[in-house]
Amino acid sequence: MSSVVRPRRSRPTSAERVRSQSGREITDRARDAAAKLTTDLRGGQIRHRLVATYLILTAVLLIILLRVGYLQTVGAPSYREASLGQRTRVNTVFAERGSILDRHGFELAIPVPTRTVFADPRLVVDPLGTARALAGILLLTPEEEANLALRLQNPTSSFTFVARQADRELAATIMALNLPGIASYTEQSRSLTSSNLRALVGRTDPDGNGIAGLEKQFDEVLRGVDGRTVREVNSAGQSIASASNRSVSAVRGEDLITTIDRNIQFQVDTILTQQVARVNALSGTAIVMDSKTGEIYALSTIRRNADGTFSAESGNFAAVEAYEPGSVAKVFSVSSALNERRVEINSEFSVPGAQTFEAGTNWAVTIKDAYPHPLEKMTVRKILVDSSNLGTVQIAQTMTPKERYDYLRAFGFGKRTAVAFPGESKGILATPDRWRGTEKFTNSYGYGYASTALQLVAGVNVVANGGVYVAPRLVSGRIDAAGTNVPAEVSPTHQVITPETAATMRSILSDVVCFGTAKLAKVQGMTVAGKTGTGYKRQENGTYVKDDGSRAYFASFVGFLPAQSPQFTVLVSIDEPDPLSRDRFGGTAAAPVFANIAQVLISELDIRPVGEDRGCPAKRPAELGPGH
Amino acid sequence: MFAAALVGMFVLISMIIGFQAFIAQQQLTLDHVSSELRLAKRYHDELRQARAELLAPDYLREQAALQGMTQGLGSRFVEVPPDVVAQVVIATGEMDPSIAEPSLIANPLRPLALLESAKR
Repeated sequence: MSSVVRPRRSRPTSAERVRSQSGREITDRARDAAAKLTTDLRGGQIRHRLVATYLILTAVLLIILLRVGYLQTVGAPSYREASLGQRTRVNTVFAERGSILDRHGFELAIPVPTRTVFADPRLVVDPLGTARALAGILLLTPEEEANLALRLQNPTSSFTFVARQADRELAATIMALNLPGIASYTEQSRSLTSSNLRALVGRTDPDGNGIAGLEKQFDEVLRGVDGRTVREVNSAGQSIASASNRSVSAVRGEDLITTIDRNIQFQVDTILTQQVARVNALSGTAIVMDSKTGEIYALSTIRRNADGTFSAESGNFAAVEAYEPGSVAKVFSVSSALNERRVEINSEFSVPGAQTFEAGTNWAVTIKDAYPHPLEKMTVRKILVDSSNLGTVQIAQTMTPKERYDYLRAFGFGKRTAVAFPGESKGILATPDRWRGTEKFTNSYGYGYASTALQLVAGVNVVANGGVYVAPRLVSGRIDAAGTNVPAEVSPTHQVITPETAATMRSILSDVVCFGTAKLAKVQGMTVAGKTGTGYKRQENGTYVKDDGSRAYFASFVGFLPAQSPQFTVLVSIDEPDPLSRDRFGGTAAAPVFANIAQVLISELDIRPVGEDRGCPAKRPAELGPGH
Repeated sequence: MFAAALVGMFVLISMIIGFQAFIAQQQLTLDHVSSELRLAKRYHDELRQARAELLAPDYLREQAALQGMTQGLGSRFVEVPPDVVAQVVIATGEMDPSIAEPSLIANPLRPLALLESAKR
């Protein structure tokens, strides 16, 4: 007989009793609800329930359908963008900047590939060691090395330049070190084929924007249009195949064709540099211009640096700076009077050695002639050949101030040239009602108004070009993306003096070279023509004399060749030649440069004498009297 | 029926996989060509720079000086009598226009024309 011993149950606590009671209640309620559903199975009740369930499900499905519809239509773009943004990587492809070419297509400025080395300071393990290693390669000064180390220690920065647009070999050397946090990318830089072209071509900033010279003036043409590459990547950042191609190719900038001849430019630079150094001048300018078309073959600006060396790194002063033209302006005064038939080539004037103007007024001033002489009978030809100031004043006085002003405007003064170089000056030319005191007389021989070198060469070129003003031109066209040469508009022209007056002036100006003040401009075997100018430079004290009593000179010569059928007009100006030297005058400082440049043009451009021209006659004509 | 559907589905999936592989292969080829194009472009730029430097007047003068050449200091215009010209023409035939007119061969390299055709 066995007996089963049941374990004795302990009496439940009050809390267990409450829990047990509430559990029972829930169970009871659930049982009641189930009973209602399963026990009351009358048809009407079931139908109601099914309809309710159907409506609920339909509503849910409708909501889902509407949401899907919304996401597929109105809301789609933003989600599509978000999706693309997550899986696509977009890189800018910088457009290659167009080249600047000379008239034959030789490069003056070209884009060159370089490497830019940069650092992500967050990834640099040893900033000081990295800076030391980089300084050794980049030849940094201790200060520059300290600055680099400081930048590499900045934990909040993710990018800092180490070497911008570095030489490719240099960048390769740095990258070979495998320094953590140091990387590089390809970037374009700008290279000139000659450093002397800087003043003309200008420059770009490191981002490729033109900031000076032609680079700035034609930035829109040269810069091109940036493109982009778009690639889709997986979660690991690897490229994945994609059917869509949203990449846009960069459009290369157009090439700019200048009128410059690179070989002539180089030789003019060389000749001018030698002369500026020889006469110890502050700067020099030379312009070679096609007499018929106004095309500039060479435009050289050489300036003395603080360390005594000479370079063309600074701005294009031929267009930017304006000076009083001095005696070269006599060309315009005499041309105007001849053209208006107020004088003839052999008209005579009694010219004193010195004359006081505006006597008895506050403006009274005594003007001395270019060289000492007693009262002398001078023809118009002699006045110009010997560069007589007082003779020119007398010629100019045959015309009204208004007429003289109108002629000067027609010769191109007081307004910018068509070159429209950045920062180009329009010079200074006051209207006749504002000509004060001696200006009424002195502007006939080049004091009282100011012109740029470009204005001056274009003005004298009127005589060379049969009396027609042709605007200087520096750009002849561009080559577009399709390889089509698109020519620039031709230079505007207008008649200033008659062809007969121009021919007379060419004859007089050839005498200036053969027998007058510009003998050093002579070219063997060919007659050339031109006019010298020696001006005093106006000082900051408002006079032409420095506070220490000395003067600063501005020597110039503008001429053309061959004299009777000009092909090229050349300007040479030397700013502040040594004031104690004999080579401070237009005839001694500038005219020899013209002769050398003319020789280059003859050789390079195959210029030959016209007709029976064999150069200057040996003897000075009797009508000119003795030389000075 | 079920087996046919299964085979059809297998073929369809295989075709899709094959097509995807083909697209990926083409993409790789395209990447390779793009990369080569980039390298060729860089090489072209380097050569262009080198050419420009070699043709630069500064360099040419330097090299000419190394070979003992100096720039002419002047020119002399010499008149050739017509009978001498006639004798030369008779002896040698019609003169080559490029020699008779030197300005025609001033730029034998014709860089502008080359550049235009290269861009086309």
